[in-house]
Amino acid sequence: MSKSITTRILSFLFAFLLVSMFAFAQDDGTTQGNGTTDNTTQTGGAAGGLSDNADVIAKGEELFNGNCKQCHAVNAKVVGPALAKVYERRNIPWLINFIKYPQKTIESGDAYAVALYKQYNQFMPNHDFLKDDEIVAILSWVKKETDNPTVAKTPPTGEPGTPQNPTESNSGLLVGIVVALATLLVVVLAVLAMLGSVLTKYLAKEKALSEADRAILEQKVEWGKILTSRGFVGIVSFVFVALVLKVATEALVTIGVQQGYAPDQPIPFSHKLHAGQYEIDCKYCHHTVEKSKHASIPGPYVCMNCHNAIKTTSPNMDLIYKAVENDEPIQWVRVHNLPDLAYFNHAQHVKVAGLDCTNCHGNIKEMEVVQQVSLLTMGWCIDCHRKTEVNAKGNGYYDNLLEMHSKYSKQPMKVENIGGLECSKCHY
Amino acid sequence: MLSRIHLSIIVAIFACLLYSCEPKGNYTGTEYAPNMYHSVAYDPYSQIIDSTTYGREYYNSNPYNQYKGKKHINMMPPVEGTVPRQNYRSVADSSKDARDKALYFYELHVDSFALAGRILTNPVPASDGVVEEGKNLYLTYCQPCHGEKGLGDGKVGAMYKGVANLTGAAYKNLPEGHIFHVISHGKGRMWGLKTTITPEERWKIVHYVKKLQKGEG
Repeated sequence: MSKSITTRILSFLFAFLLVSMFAFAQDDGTTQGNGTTDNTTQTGGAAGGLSDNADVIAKGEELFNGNCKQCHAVNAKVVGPALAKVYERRNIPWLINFIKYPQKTIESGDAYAVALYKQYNQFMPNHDFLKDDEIVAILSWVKKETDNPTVAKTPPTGEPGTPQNPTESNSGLLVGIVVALATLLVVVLAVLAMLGSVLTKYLAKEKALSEADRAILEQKVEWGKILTSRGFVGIVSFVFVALVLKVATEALVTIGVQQGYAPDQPIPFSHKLHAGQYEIDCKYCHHTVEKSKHASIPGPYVCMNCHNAIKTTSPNMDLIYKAVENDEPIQWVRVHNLPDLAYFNHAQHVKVAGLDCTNCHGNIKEMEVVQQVSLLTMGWCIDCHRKTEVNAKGNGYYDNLLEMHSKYSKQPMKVENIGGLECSKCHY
Repeated sequence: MLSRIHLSIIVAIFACLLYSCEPKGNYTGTEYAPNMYHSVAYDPYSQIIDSTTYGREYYNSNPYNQYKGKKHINMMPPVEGTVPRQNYRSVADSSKDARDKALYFYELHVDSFALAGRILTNPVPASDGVVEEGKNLYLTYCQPCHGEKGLGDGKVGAMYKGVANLTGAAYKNLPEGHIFHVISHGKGRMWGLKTTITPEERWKIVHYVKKLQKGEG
């Protein structure tokens, strides 16, 4: 038994030695080929010079991920062509030369390169920083991927699904709990009612009861009398009046408060998609928010930064193109409208105070249609000015104020302490 | 008794009416004093171009302000040939030499990447604060495509495709001026961001990108 194991190990080692020698020999072959890369007459074998040494392939994979992956895939067209069997379509020296100097090759009039350029309509950047053996390593990896592709990892596809499941099961759990409680309540009520009827029946048979007790026992509930009784009418009318007053006062207080206003926009731009799913920072589009009173609504020049390549054709994109062609602004509908009499400055709150956009605008990342979440009333402003500490860290402007404040108070310096409640701060 | 019932019904109707004042969807809700909401002065994003919607009183579009033959545009483009100098004065370094160099790019052709790399030097001196600012700017403007570490693996980049891996060998040793020029005017598939990011901010981003490329991000 032990003998057979040793022979197996030995034969394995021998095979390994053979393979590695073979790989080295191939490496030598490629390096020899390098010397003649500029010699375009060389028409080496289709996949000749490519290595199947694991180290070379690993190095090729690393180089591919660092330098090629952005535009090329083995089995799919990304920006440039799919690379599967590229080593069969062209010989290695041609590929090395093209990868190093694509534009030069195309401009030199190479028929195949020109055809590629016509098909993809853009130049690939020069990769002259790659050494010949590095390019060969990349191509070796491409060959390995063509012959037996690595199975795509499953986690990335499963990932988007997983966060949803817990929330779903959570809400399911909640509903389950509520239903269970309700059934329990019904059961308890039924049991109590049964107990009551059993007890009254038992008491009715009892003969040693006093007259008063018997009267209580035989008492019947008279619903008509209860409904017309003073007490009942009083309670009902009180509840009614209270409800009406509550609704009326709430409505009166909210006149002129546009909380909940969610107008349709000329282009149904989804913040949920852009800010939520793609996690684009608010400031990418509303880029004046740290410099200006206003957080600018972006023009098409911002949209086109991405949409020159992503989803270039759609009815909504046509609206943007139309605006650009006609040189007209897109008439977005203003959602947050602070009355003219109140001054508000975005830069002051976002840049200086370092407030997050969601403080006032709510969870924009979840909004398909933007709506006004905050009250934008004076009380709402004042409330925040009373609660919020001044973001004085690293801001020389507040040094003296902080010093003065710490002289007279041990509390942290709030906005109200530096005049945040002064009328003329916002009304002038 | 009857009158009381009538009264309560009237109150209830009144309450319902008031309730309907609430804003929802396209309806702003009742505006108690509309002239407070609709600025007669030209305020950004407040233009009312239809003189009949809110009544003549709130119509604040200037029919005499025409742009390329179109009415109703309050914001006017600057006079042709205007040079926005204020961008360049904000450069942090006070030495005149550095500032002049920072201005160079203005004369450079969009495609002159190599030239930009040779002659532009970063006029904003690197400090921890500047690099931190550069990082924040990078995370806002570059991260969606180029990814947090510059690997070209941003979420938008995955859709955009062909986004450069800034730490790749092709980009690792690029001079700062080259990076600045690319942020300004774009290169390959990327479009320029000079309208959104000021030159000073761009130089700060360059500082951070250089840091990322050294693997210190």
